[in-house]
Amino acid sequence: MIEVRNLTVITIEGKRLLDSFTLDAPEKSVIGIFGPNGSGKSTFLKALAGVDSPHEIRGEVRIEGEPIRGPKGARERVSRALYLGSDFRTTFGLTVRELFELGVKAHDPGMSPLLNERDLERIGNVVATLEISDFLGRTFPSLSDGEKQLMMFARALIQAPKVVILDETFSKLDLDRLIQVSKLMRAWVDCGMTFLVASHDLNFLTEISDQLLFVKAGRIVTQGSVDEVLSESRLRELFTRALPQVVKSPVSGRRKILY
Amino acid sequence: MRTDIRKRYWIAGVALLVASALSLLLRLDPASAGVVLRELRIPRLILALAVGGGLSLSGLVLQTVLANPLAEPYTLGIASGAALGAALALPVARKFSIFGLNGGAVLGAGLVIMLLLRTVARGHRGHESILLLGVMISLISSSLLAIWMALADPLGVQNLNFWMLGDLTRAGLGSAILLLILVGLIGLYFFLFSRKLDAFLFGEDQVESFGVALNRTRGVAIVLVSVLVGLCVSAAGMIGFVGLVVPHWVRRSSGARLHYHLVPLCLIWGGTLLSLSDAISRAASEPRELPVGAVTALIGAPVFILLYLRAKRGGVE
Repeated sequence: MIEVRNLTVITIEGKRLLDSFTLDAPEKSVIGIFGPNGSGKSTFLKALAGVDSPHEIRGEVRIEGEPIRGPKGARERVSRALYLGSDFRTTFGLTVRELFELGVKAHDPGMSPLLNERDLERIGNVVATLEISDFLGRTFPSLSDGEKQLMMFARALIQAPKVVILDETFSKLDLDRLIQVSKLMRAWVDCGMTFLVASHDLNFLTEISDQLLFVKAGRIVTQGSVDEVLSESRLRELFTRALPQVVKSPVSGRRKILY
Repeated sequence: MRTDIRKRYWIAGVALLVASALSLLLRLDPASAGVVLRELRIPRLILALAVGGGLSLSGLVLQTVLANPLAEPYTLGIASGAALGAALALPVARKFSIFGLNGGAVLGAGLVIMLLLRTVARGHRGHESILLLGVMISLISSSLLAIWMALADPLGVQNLNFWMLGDLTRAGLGSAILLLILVGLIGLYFFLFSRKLDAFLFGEDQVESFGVALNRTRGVAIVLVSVLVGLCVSAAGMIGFVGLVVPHWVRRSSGARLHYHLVPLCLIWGGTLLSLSDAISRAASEPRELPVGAVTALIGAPVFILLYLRAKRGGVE
């Protein structure tokens, strides 16, 4: 269970980037977050993950009853929630395999970089499921933006935190991979993971999400199941220049927008 | 892959032995060999190994922690800050023996790094801004050093050469061994906690997502680098570009990317490069000596330009 109570983020100048977010999200689910540019999606997701921030953060975030910023610091925090953005740059490149090895050791208080059987198995499982073994030997800077996003997503699955937060992490993924990920998402949820996914691709969100969250100007406009939330009247609150049509997908039966 | 890395350790080890042998035996007069080795060359070799290793390790850690491939103690002004600190501490240091000098140098190095970090923290993250600031700090503290030397010390100009160009001739066996041990211990720390440095390789905002505390790790690294640079500079003056060239050389030549390998290889190659440069600077124009810092800078500066151009094109890997 993710409990967010009155989460508020205020800049030094006094501007409210986020205003009293309150949310109860069940574990083992996918929560899609949708909203215009600058509506506070990233601010919310970073605050939820407990990422260091130059702003003042009020309110409370608990994951399975434990506050996100516990006394044990970064290692404990990323075992609860791992935030991934969309833009991944490096100065000196590691290979994808080394990235995964770094990820699998993130919860290990020991500092040895050597892997044991279980670490290797965890990496192997994710690599096999996502079909990315071809990438293992490549250096991270040599990958395309979309490939970097996919590798970082794989690394998050290998780290296996309770909550994976994906902030536009699939923005440059090709359609083939996007469909693959959306089909696989349910399997990881069944393994006990929870995903919070912010995206501008509403049709992708309706495909994967159990719940949708609409955000505008630092506030939650509405939240609920896809069928409850995705209606033309609701969309009118978010879209001021155009109004997409809501239809049911003949393939998955889920609601989609057409424009 | 594993055998490949093992081969690189062998090559580094052999290079270290060859450089050490050259440094000890080149143009050695058999008549006075015993005394020269004991009194001059062995302490000097040990100092070269310690300072070369220490500066290379500092360069490696700075490049990683600041995510800047051009970072090193010399280009960022940390070495000149240390030299100024040591020089300012000189009058006091005469009372407090070697600790005053070293303390001043460590303090000087630490202050410069703090200043650099504050700039990075304020969001001027580009390669250029931190380098520009470093070059300015370097100029300012070198000028202050020159003025201080001219005013404070009758032998000022001679001393200035020591600080500005680096010099391994003042080596004493005891202090050289002590420095080597300290460099080794700090190297051991970075080796044991190499994974924390690896976490910096995907950018500052990813560090904590690998379970590594950003501020604490960076703080410890900065303190240790200040100590390293301070001790190396107060023992041998400002020796430029070792800290820049060696980490890049190690990355390119060994294919090592994880700090688990980078740290020990940088220590070995740093010592190798400096003892070799020292042997060259002694043998090239005997009985006079070229300043060892000038020799390393002559090797290092072209490499710096090359890397800078490559970084501008966005291709540093």
